[in-house]
Amino acid sequence: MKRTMILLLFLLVTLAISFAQSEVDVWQFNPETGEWDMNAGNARALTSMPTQGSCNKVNWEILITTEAQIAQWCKWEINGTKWTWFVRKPGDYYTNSVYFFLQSNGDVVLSATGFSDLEYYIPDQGVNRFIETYWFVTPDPGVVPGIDDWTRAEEVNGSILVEDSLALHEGLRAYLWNRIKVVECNSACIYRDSGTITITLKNQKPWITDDGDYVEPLTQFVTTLR
Amino acid sequence: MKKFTLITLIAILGSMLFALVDDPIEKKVLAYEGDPANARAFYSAPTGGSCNKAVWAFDIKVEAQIAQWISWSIGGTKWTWFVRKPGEYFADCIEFSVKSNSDVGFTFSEFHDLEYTLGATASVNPIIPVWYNFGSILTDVLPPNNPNPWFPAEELNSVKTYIEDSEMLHNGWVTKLWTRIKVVECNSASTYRATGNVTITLLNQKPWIIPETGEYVPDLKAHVK
Repeated sequence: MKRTMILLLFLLVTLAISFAQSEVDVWQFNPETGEWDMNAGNARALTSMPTQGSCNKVNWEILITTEAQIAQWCKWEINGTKWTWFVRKPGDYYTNSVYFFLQSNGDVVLSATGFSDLEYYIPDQGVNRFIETYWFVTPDPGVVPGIDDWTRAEEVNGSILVEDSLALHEGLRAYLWNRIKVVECNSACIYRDSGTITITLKNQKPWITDDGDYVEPLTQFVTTLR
Repeated sequence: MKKFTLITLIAILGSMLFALVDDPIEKKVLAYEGDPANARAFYSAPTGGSCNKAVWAFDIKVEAQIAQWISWSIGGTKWTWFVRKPGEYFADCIEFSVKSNSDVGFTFSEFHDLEYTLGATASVNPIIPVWYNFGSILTDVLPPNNPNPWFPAEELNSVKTYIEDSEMLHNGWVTKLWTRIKVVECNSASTYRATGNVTITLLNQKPWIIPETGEYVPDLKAHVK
């Protein structure tokens, strides 16, 4: 019994030593200054699986493994999140585009919710409380939408998957156009609608929190895979 | 003729007898320090005299054949990077120490850039370049004025180097291994990995050591001269 315990303890200690991990400092090249910044936070590195030998054997082989786990990152920009129309008379109007940029290294889902026609902002007032609203999206900055190219606001709601691709890595551009149809029944006032676009990274690593920080302790994500 | 035959016979028998008597005998080894199993001792070349000569002289020899030994350790054999954004990074080191009593050689094989672990088609760019370096302190490896060159993984495979027998090696030679990666925007989110092989070779091992195990050869006394 005592012997089994000692053997078990020995095995546990051996296992613990073989899987010992330690975090090391990381330097990142800063292209703006030409310097190497220490522990800037965008990459962390841990070493593990130490080994050793001591005797007269002539050849010793040591396996050295480098593994990089790359998190999904996303860079996006939209140069306007609000259109404000000043309409003097009824008419069918559309406006030049807002620029949207999206860059990532994995699948991204774009979801739109809450899009609808503009609504008279004071409840229970207005002869016609709604202004028909349409959207048009194009990757080509030179394209001007035709009359049949528009999508009614409510039909914009839903999701699309932007698959991992070279184009996405390099950055996708889209131009959003907006159209409103103001009719004579729309009373003079303010009409408004707010929709939400949600960008979701689909291939995020488990060691990244929902806020984009590292999960602690990071050591739990170090494996013995070679 | 008869006399000559008799002399020849005596000479042959004498040399056979001498050879029989000079069979090395292994003796028990004790140790004040260290493990007695790490040394073995034989005595041989007996001699003697028997007559009325006034002065006798004979040599006493002690010969110690010292095998090459090594004691080495490496603080880690795996680097795991957790990269949040593209960039060029290098990491502080893994400490490597080696202690030996003669020349020690190093060769490298199968080092290559990190590859996407799910297959080449699953990433926009399935390769992450990796470099390795050796140096005791940061300034040895810090670009752009680093005196020690960074080796691209594949070039490391052609490096053959050795540490010469020296007091420094006997006392323990210590260096650090550094790694550097360049993650670009085309690397999809996932895991990339590469494994290489470092071989340490004892360059002056004795013939009475089995190279593969470091144990004594079975017929050790054949090496007594």
